[in-house]
Amino acid sequence: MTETAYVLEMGKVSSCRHLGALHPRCLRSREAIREAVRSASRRSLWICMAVEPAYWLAEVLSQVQTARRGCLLALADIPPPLASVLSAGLERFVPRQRTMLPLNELAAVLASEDCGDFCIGGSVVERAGIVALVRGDLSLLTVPFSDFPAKQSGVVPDFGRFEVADHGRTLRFGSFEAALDAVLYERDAAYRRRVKAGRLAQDDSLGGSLRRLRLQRGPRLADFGPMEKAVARIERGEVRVPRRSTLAVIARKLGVEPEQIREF
Amino acid sequence: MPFELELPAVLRKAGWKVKIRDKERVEPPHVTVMRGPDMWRIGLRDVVLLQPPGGSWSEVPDGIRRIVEQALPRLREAWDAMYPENPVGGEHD
Repeated sequence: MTETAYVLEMGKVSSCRHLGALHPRCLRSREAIREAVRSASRRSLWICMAVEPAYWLAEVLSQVQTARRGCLLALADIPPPLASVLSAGLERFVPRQRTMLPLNELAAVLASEDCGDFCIGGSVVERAGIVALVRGDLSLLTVPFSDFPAKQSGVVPDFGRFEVADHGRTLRFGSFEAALDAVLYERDAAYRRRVKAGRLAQDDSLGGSLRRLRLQRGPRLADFGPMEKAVARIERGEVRVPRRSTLAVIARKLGVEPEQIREF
Repeated sequence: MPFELELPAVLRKAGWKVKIRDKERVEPPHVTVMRGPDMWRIGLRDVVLLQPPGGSWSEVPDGIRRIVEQALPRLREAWDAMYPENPVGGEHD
């Protein structure tokens, strides 16, 4: 989650009111940027609305010989040489994407604790058959077109009409919509582990209880000897009503009474 | 094309959406309720809250809950049409 957000902008119209959820500091001069860089940390977020202040930031960063000062999200087209300089001086630099969330939704996502579970924008690289997504923690995720197969109903993703919708929870390709969490589940092992852990903790079935109990007590599946497969099948929910004799053996191994297994 | 439940104007204006998208996570059949960055997933087999873990129906207005419950047959039908390999009536996910 972002510690401090700085919005670099020019001109008469301020974007800061649209980014209110971030409580940003709006910087409109070289001096203001210099002061902000001094107090910035690795968790600071810079949002660049125009090119000129990006040059000012690059200039200031080159003069301050300290650790990297946060991440920058460009909402203006930054020329490649300037982008390289900014990348060197910051933790992360994310260039403007072909599609981005509206500013108010962007701010809500960036301000949330689980911002990495949202998509704030992205681009389609048609020739490579890839959708490049920017997550709310400004990390990047590339997803091949093949992850969005056409539906049997005939709905086909139109990658030329890519949009991020529903506050970054949905990827829209024309009339085809994909849940972002489905994409994250398939492509991000850490996300998958987190979701699975939550699901198992919530699982109220006999299999879920048995698995939690076993993990708590320590035995591995292999430690159940000839009962190994039976235990695995119960845990997976393939056997919902095991034989009483089977449960008795498993319970004995785990040091509980058979009827106590469900309590875990 | 996603299946989106039509909501009364007051809920729609407040930002509520109830939908099944063309690509959803492989898990129990479900419908997703969204409002702004918040999201709840409701199982279509037993109408329980699948996500967030430990989440409560109290976070969702009664109006949305009623609408989802009333629309269950339509939602189940829509899911089955979109995900015939993982139907609501199926035993495994």
